[in-house]
Amino acid sequence: MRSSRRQLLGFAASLAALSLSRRGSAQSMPVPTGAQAELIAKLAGFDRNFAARAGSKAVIILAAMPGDADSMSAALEMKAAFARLPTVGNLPHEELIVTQSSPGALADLVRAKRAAIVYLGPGFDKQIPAIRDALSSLDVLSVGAIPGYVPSGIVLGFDLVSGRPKLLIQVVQARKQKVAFPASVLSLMKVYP
Amino acid sequence: MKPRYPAACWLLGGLLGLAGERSAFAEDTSALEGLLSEPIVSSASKQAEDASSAPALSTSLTAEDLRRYGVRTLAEALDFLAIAVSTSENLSGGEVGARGVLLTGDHGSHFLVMVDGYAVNDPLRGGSTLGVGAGTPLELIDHIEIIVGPGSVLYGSNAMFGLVNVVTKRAKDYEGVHVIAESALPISVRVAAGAGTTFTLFGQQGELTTQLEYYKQKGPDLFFDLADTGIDRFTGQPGRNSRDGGPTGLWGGARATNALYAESPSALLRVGLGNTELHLQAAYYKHASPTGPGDFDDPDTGDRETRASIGLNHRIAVSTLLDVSARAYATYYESKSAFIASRGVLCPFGLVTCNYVDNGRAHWVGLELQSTWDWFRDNRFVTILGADARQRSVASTSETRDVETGGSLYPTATGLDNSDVITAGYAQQTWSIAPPVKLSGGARVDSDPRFKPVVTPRVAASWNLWSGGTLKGSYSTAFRAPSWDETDNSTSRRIQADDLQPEKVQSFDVNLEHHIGAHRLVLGGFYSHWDNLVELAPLSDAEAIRAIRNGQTKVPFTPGIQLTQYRNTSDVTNYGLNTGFEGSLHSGFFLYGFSLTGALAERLTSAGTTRLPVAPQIFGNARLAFVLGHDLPTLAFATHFLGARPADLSNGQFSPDPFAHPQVELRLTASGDVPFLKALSYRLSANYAVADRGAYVVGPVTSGIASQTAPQLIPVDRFRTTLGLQYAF
Repeated sequence: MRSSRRQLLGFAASLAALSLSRRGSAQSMPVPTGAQAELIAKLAGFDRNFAARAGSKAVIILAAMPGDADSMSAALEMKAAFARLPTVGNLPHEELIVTQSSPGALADLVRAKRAAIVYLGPGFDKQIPAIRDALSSLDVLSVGAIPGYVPSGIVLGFDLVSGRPKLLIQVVQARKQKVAFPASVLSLMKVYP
Repeated sequence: MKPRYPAACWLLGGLLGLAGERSAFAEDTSALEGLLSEPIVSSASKQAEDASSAPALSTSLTAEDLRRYGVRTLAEALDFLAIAVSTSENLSGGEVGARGVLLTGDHGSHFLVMVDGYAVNDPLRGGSTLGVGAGTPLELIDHIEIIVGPGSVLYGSNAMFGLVNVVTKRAKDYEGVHVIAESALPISVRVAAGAGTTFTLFGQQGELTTQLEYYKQKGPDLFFDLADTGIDRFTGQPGRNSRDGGPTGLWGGARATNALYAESPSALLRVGLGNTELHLQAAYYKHASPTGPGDFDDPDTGDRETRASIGLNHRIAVSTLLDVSARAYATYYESKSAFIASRGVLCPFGLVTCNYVDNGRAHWVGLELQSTWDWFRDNRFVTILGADARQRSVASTSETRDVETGGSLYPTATGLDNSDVITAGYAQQTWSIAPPVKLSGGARVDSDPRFKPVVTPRVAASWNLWSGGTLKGSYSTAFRAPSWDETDNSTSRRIQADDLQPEKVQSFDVNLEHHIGAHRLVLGGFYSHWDNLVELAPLSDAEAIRAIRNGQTKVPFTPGIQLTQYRNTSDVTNYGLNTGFEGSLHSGFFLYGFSLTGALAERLTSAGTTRLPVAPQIFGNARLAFVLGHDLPTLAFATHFLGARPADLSNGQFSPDPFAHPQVELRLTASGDVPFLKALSYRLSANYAVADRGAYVVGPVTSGIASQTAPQLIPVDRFRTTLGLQYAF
């Protein structure tokens, strides 16, 4: 009896110890990175301004929050998932992983690299309004790994509803960032005004 | 001019229609729709992945499908929507099987049923409930993952048919307050209130979802055919089949107006804060068991079950290499069953009516630790290592009372009072060798003090052969540790088992999945072998005499007395094919689905080979729905069918063996928002069952006798309409 109580206390202590450590982000991605990459690759082809924005090669910035293991894992996995795809939006592509928490620096990088897509992994939830403002004047498709990013101003996001991937779009921000999907694609998305 | 081959013309027209649909829409969005319709499952390998590459036949039933096809229980969800799984109504909670195997009397212990990843199989018998007593509110379900085939590699005991994981909604998908009322007119009512909200606490985002529910059913007043039990071998007179009735020998021949009821209040709460999640679930389920050999239409014959469980899960990403999660859980379960019998062979204590009361309670407390190692940080080569430790206790009593006086007719059986610790360790390696090829292998070792450690390995491979086409194969194993109740318990009419061993199954599976846009085709084959199946075996007269002499039961001997014992009685060989086809046309305006399973299951005993009772060799479902949109209702038609199948007592008890006719259940459902009142939605469905009898022999005549040579089969509630309303604040 005493040993089973000691075992239970041990269980509780190890759980408490785990609860206290917080190295990862509080939000996890609902949709696996492989499915996200495939969706982005397909969707980019529907963006009427994508080819003009990207030029001969689609540059994709994968942003990870410094010090956030979940965020860095997402960026690494997305890079590997894109590497398995021959084209993104019917164009050859190149991915850059950046650990960036400053919205201004991120926007500068998008400008400097002429990035067609900027992907934000988990861990950016507090920076999303500032990132939205910094990207507003740029011609770029911003994509969020976390569904909650989209209502706050990231153009495209993913959710898992009824066990299937669901696309989310912020149409006002899409207009600002010159992202234009046809109505047939918008009809497949959850639209945030 | 009439077409010469009308069927061919229809088929061609259909294909052209499909092609037209593709040309009109597909060049724009069909590939995208295909990606969006691909189920994401996480139960098969404890990692989120496409269902087509998961290492088992995996399907995911959506909340929308549950609603639009009029689904009211988990059992109906499996029947009308799943591939390769079917249930069987026994008017006592139901039974479930897969791929042509159904083990009647198993209390659902061969399927591992989980809610949000927490096992809800009870700690006393390992049983699960998929009917109205499941205690999982339908409105709170986001989707149901069904993994068909042995799955002990990551989950341990019970996952022999596979596993069902009910995933509940996130708060954002159930925001506000919801009030629900539904009635299967006029026999049942279900009222519920649920809520979902998000919040911020200690700088972390949190969410809460909950639902409280109350279900009550009275009826249907089904007609049970007359059975003549003849002369009671104990009294020498015609048997008594009711408390107040005389020695008529007659059972049934009337509507059961008292013994068909159910009541089930339940609650579920999920709270998430950051990477920590708390899960609470509780349910009470009281129901009658009107089909047994005891007194006819006695309301006290039935079961009462109470379940409560708590789970706490926390996950941390230690680095890009390592992810760790810990899951603490506890479950309490209590059951009380009563069986009322007046006939002398069942109640050999003179002219009294017996109440056989079996009480049991059990709990477990456990902790599971799991680490996930992404060696190349790209999901290509991932190792999962886990360990699970569980302390459990069971206790039970069994007594026989005089219904009139309440006094014991003989001393209470000692029953169970046991506790132990079971442990398990598991490992799984997944390896995406190249984009089209994925390998998976793993094993789990379960240690239970009652048996030698059980090892359950699985190896699987999937190969993306062409665009949209995946071929996958697997070898998988599973086991079921007999419950304490089966290994160590005895009741008034059951003696304790001798050296009972775990049941095991191994299976080879091949599945081909192909996607064309939003259309998904699954074609598969399987071969399984089951060893050491545990069954409640009736004792022969000689064995009963020996048991009484040895003091294994205190029941006084009477010729024909029915004593039983759990035994490893048989092996089963099972093989077959399953196919499924589902999808949508015109951007979700028209939805369809179809599945068909053909399977043979042969039970191998020392006496020879027999077909498994109750299990259908051919079964499936089909459905279609029109989502009209705007204020118009969604119209849906669903059907599921079971081929002819032997009844539960079809092993020579009657000549010829009783068979249930093929059953086809048809359901038409209209659902949508009430016009001009968007917050109020409705669902109206009508259900019709073609066959009027099911696959269970009811009543006291369990083998052919002079007064009753033919068995009476269980009646079916053939027509029922259901109306439900839901208001969202």
